[in-house]
Amino acid sequence: MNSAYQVVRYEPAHKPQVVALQCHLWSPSTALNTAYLEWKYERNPYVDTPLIYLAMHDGRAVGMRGFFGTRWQGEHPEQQGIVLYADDLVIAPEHRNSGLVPGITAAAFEDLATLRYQYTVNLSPGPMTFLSSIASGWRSVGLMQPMHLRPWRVALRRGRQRLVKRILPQWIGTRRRCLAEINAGRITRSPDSAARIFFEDAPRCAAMAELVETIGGSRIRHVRNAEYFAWRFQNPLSRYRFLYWTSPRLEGYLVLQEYTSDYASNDVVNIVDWEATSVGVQAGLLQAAIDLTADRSLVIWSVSLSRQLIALLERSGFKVEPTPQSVTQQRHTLLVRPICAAELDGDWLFAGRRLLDLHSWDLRMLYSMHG
Amino acid sequence: MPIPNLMGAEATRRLRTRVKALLEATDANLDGGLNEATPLIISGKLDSQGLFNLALFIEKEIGRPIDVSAFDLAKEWNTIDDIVEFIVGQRAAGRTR
Repeated sequence: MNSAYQVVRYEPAHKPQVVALQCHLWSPSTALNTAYLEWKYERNPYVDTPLIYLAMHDGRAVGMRGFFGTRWQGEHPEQQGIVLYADDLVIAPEHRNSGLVPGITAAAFEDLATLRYQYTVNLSPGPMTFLSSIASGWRSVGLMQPMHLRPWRVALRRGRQRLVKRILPQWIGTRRRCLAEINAGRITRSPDSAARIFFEDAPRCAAMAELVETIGGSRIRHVRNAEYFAWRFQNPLSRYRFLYWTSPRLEGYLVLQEYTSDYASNDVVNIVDWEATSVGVQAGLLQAAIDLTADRSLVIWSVSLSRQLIALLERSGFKVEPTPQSVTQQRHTLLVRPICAAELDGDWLFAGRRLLDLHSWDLRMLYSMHG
Repeated sequence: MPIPNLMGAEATRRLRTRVKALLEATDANLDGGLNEATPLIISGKLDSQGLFNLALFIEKEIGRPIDVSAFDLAKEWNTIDDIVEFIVGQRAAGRTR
């Protein structure tokens, strides 16, 4: 990075520039980008001040990397800590190949080392970010093993799209129903589930948090309390809908998510969280999700699921996505790095567990910016 | 134990020249002052696009995908000489599989 560039920490006066710069990554809409910036960094429940680093050139922001707050826990509730999630790496096209990525990263870590945080994670690196992260001390913990269900309607539509893409693009765009348009009438209800499954627009934050607490867990996972859910589902780059199983208390939930940015695939619906008191309830929720999204590809990360749930997904037609081969392919992975360079060679631990052991983690797409 | 170089001196020299040309062509940050021992990664000189192009080049040279998380990339690709040695080693390993 040459001396024409300077790395600075974000201040509110930079906001219009950041929003414009992120038209290269988040979405083409400055209104949507503003909402996303405010949600992710200004209203973040764990870090008060936006930790965004900007490469400036002639007074203009031309590169950015952000670190937003996440709160993780171990087996016991008191084993909690804030971890910075590195994200939103973007360089203005005319300033690429100028050494800005390593320059911003080095300056950011130098500044972050003066704060109280110990680790950074990234659950949503693109191929280029993955590679540059590995080169700068990050380690890959493992792959998230996405599984997808691609119904015949999706396969048919893709074939049709190839045929008529240039002729009737607008017609294609209107064939797929977004999550907001789907109603619960599409759910095939068994006698057991008929009165128990609800499909709603809003998260039941308190009940979901209570269920999560009841189920518990011993691995490293994001804290899912009511405050987290209330914030998390306001993500403007995603639209969420919720399946609940009640009898009469909440016995399970499944969260469906789709992207709202014009840059993202509108074919995919993700299952970003799926929790229940029994496998039977999880099976009922999964079947309802499949019924509701019959014209979309349904994707879930399977890395932390039990064998029973993976078998259930397989019986329902889900297939594990092939492991990426080339460095050019998207790799759904967890990257971790201590903030202080002095700790790079040590044993990376959180709540007494080894961070580089995939089995230490309970990972869901909700914890990543894919979801 | 040093990796046996089955390529021959001339082929290795040509490979070194190609690596250097690739780096010079794809990364403006490396203009001038680049030699076989210039630190590329630990110095931060090689940008993400340059690194990406280098990874593609290496995959093509060794004829198979590489898992960059399986080795210390910052050490093994840090200089042109390191990169050449990595390619030679991977080719040799490929032959013995």
